[in-house]
Amino acid sequence: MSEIIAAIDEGAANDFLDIVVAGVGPQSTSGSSSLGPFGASYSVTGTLTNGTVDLIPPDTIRVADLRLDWTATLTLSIDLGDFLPEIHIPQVCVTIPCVGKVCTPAIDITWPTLSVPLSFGDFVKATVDLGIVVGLAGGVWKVEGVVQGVPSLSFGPGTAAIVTAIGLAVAAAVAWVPFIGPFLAGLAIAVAAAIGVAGLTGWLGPIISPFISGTRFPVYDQPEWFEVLPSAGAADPAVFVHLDAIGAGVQHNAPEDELVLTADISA
Amino acid sequence: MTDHLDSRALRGTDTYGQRFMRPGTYRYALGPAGTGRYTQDHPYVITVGEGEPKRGEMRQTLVVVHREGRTLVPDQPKLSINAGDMVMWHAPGAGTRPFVVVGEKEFFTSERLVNESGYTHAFTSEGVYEWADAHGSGARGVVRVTNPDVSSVKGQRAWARSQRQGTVVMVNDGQAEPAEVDVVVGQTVFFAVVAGPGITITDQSLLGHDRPEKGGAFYRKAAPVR
Repeated sequence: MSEIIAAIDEGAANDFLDIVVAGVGPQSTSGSSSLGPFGASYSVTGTLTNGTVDLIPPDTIRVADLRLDWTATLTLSIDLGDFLPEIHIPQVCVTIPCVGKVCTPAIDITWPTLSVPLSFGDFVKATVDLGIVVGLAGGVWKVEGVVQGVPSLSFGPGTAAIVTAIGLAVAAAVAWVPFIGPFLAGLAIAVAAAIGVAGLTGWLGPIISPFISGTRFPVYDQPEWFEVLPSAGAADPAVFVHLDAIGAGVQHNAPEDELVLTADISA
Repeated sequence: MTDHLDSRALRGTDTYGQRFMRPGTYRYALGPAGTGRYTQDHPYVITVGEGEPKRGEMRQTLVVVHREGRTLVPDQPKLSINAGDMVMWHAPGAGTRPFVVVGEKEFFTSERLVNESGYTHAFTSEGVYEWADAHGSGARGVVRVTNPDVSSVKGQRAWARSQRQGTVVMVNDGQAEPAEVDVVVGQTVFFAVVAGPGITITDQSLLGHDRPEKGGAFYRKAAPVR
């Protein structure tokens, strides 16, 4: 039987999660990859906000609807020639009074390749199972909840709107390009279709999944020498006990499921 | 509105044309617009043969301008034509900076369109283009450009057909006729200068606060040149 036992129920665990999540802070990553047919260099930041704890004996802490708010800044490289028809202004001839027939040369229009900066954001939710990991490192006992596996992300309802917004933003960014006027509306649709909701989530998922899958939630930190009584003077030093072993698990102690920490101590 | 309507700075959608009515040798230079780095030398030559221009027998020669290093070069540095023929300059390369054609003789320059010369511009963006002569002759006009409906195959074909139809604006002694025209994106307007002191076709938005007024400080009446 352990000398010290501490337990929290799900209600307290939820309060505890809020504090822990707030302490995780924003996470960022950057790189380059392909978004649909476009090259994209990106910087993505994600911040965990909340979730609901479900304690499942014997050793699982499930966090349902763990929410990650994310923002992405990216630069899309777009070859307009991939989307727009070739333009050839034909030779034009007119008859000018007292001069005669005058003709212009045919003119080929080459669509440029452009870099379009974009910013957008939304949130994802995931349900994750935390495994409980106990370890002693550097004289400190640590109990952590570690996300097990790669969660399946549930993107927010705004994802489709983001795809549409990207199309419109691209159209707005290229509005200065000569001859693009007649094609602007179609270009926005074509870009959105080329990316697609599945394309955006498929691109974003691997980028932001590590923000969740790699997360370690600190549950308990304690030096192995635990002060039980402070010093009361030069002749009355502090009293320590040694934490010989720490245990952690989820137990069903009717009527509650509880996260239980146990400690074996010695003087 | 992103188009550049300015005969003083020829771009890929512009041409400058000049008729040569009298026999002789006409030297000229090509240079980047607005720099003045073309006035010291006139390396290219147009030789106009003897004979009177015959009515209805004008021939047109296209000179294609391209870039070699920092230099603008015509595909025909030496050209022989007959009296009354027209030479038209065009730089189709996307990398070619806006340029000017400057002849030794005053009548022959794209910077000041004098008799028997012209400027064409294919409009690339919708908008209302109010143009004026930057030299203040009072010549002015409006080109209204709209986007075609290309949402259907029928519309696309109609647009392609419309691009073959040019619009002519005659400019004679400071008066444009018609003064206002309507075109769609991709259509070409021919500004034909019948006679005048040397004008430009310049979007008024490019003239800024120096918008010319006839009789104002900008007005410099050129002497007759021929």
